[in-house]
Amino acid sequence: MTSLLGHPAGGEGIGYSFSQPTAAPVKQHGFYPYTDNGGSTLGITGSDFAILAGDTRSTSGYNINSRMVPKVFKIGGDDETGEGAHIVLSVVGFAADGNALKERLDAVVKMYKYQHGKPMSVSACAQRLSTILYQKRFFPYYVTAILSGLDEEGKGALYSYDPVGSYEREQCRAAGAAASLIMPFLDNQVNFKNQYIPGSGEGHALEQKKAEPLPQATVEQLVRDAFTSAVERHIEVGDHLQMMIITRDGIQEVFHPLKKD
Amino acid sequence: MFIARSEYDRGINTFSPEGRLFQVEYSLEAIKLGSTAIGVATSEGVILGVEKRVTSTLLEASSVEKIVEIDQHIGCAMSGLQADARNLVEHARVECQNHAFNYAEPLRVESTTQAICDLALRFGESGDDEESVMSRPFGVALLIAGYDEDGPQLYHAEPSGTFYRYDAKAIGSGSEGAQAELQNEYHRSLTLSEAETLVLKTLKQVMEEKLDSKNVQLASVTKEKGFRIYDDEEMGRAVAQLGGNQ
Repeated sequence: MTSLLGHPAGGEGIGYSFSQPTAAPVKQHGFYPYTDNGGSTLGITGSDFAILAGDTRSTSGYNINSRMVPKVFKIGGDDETGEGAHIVLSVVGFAADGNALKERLDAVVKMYKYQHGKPMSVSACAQRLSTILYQKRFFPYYVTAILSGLDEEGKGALYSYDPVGSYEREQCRAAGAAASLIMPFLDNQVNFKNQYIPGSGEGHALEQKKAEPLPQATVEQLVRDAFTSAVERHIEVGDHLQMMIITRDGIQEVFHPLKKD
Repeated sequence: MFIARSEYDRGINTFSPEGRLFQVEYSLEAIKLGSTAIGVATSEGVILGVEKRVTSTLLEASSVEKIVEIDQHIGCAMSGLQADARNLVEHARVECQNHAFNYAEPLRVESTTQAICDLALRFGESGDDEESVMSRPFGVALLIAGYDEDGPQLYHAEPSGTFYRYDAKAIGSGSEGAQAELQNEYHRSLTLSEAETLVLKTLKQVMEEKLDSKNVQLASVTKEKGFRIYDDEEMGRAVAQLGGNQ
C-alpha cells in the first residue's frame, strides 16, 4: 500500500523521521501585560474627616518584591511631598498601572488649578477619574481605585471605582486582595449591618441599629484592626500600614507596623 | 477711513516696525462697524442687550440672532461679523460640554472666556503639525455674560485675544456714546430691572432707528434661571416700561 504521495506509508519499511511530515505544533503567542501585586486598601469617612489606608507590601506570586511600596497618594500637591494637596487616591492591583494612573490624575488636578484658578473639588476629581479610567475601556488600568477628600460642605467624601471607571460615593470601602475579608467587617462595624437594638421588638423582629458617622479615633482603630486581621489570613497583605487622614487642617500621613511574615 | 497700506499688511502675524499687528488692529475696526451691544452686571444677574438692524420691512426680525446661548449658565452678545462669532460660540459650547462631561460641574465664566480667546488667537500660517486655522483674525467682539460660584459676571473678548471683566460694557458702532452713558449711570446697587432699563435707555440713545420691541433684543443671566433670551412678550413689557420711565 502506497500513500498518495508515493512515499512508503508510516507503517511500512524503515521510517525516517525527515521523510515523515509531522504536524507542526500549534504555536500559542502570549501577551501578559498585567501582574497582580497584591495588597489591600481601605477607606472610611466621618462627618468632618476621611481616612484612606493601605498596606505597603508588593508581591509577585509567592515572592515579596518590597516591604515598602505605598499604595496611597496625595493628588495635586504643590511639591514632591504632596504639601498643599486636598485629595487622596489609593490604587491596588497592578502597581505599574496604579502608578501611571496616579501620575496622570496628579497632572490633571494641577493643570485644573492653573486653568481655572481654583482647586479641584473632590466631586469634580471623582468624575474626571472615571473618564480617565473609561478612556482605557479596552486596555484598562488594572487597578481598583479609591478617591477621598472633603466635600464642599466639609464632610468626608469617598469614591470607589472598578477598573473601567464605574464609581459610587460611599461611607466605606475595602479593595484589593483582602477586600473580601475586610468588607464584611466594615459592613458590620461602620454601617452596623446585622446589629439590632436589644428589646426593640418581639422575637427576631428587632429594629436595625442605625448607622451614623463615627468619631475619628474609632475609625482609626477600625482601620488598624481591619489590617491586623487581614494580615493573619492573607499572605499578600503585611509589612506596614500606611494611613492618610484628611481633615480641614490638611492631610496627615502615618505608618504603623504590620506583621512581616 | 483710509490708512496707507504697507508691506506689513501682508503677513498677518508680522509686526510693523512700530510694533503693531495691522490685521489685528483692522479687525478691531470691523467691530466698530457692527451693531451696538451692551452688557450690564449687577449683583442679581447680568443683562445683555443688542440693537438689531432691521434693514428692510421684509426682513424677519426674529432671524437676526445677536444673542446666543453658550451653556445653561452662560450666554453672549456679539458685534461685528456674525459668521465669525459662530465659530467662537461653537468652540465655547464644546468646551463647556467637555468640561461638564469630564468634571460633572459647569465651566466657569472666566474659563469659557479664556477658551474663546485661545481660539481667537489661532490665526495666521498654520504650523506643520497644526490643523488648519483661520487665515485672518476674527472680526467680532463678544460680551460674555454668565453666572458661576463667583456670582454674575460680564466679560468682553476681542479678536486680539485679550479679555477683561466689566461691570458694564458697550461694543459696536455706538459704543463710544454708550460707554460714556454707562459710566455716568452705573452704580453697584443696580437691580436687575434697573439694569434692563439702563441697557434699553442707552441703546435708544445710540441707535439710528427708533427703538421698539422688534429692533432690540435682551437676555439675562441669573442664578435661578440661568441664561435666558427674552421672548416677544417680555421684550414688549421691557420696552413699554422704558417708555413709561422716559
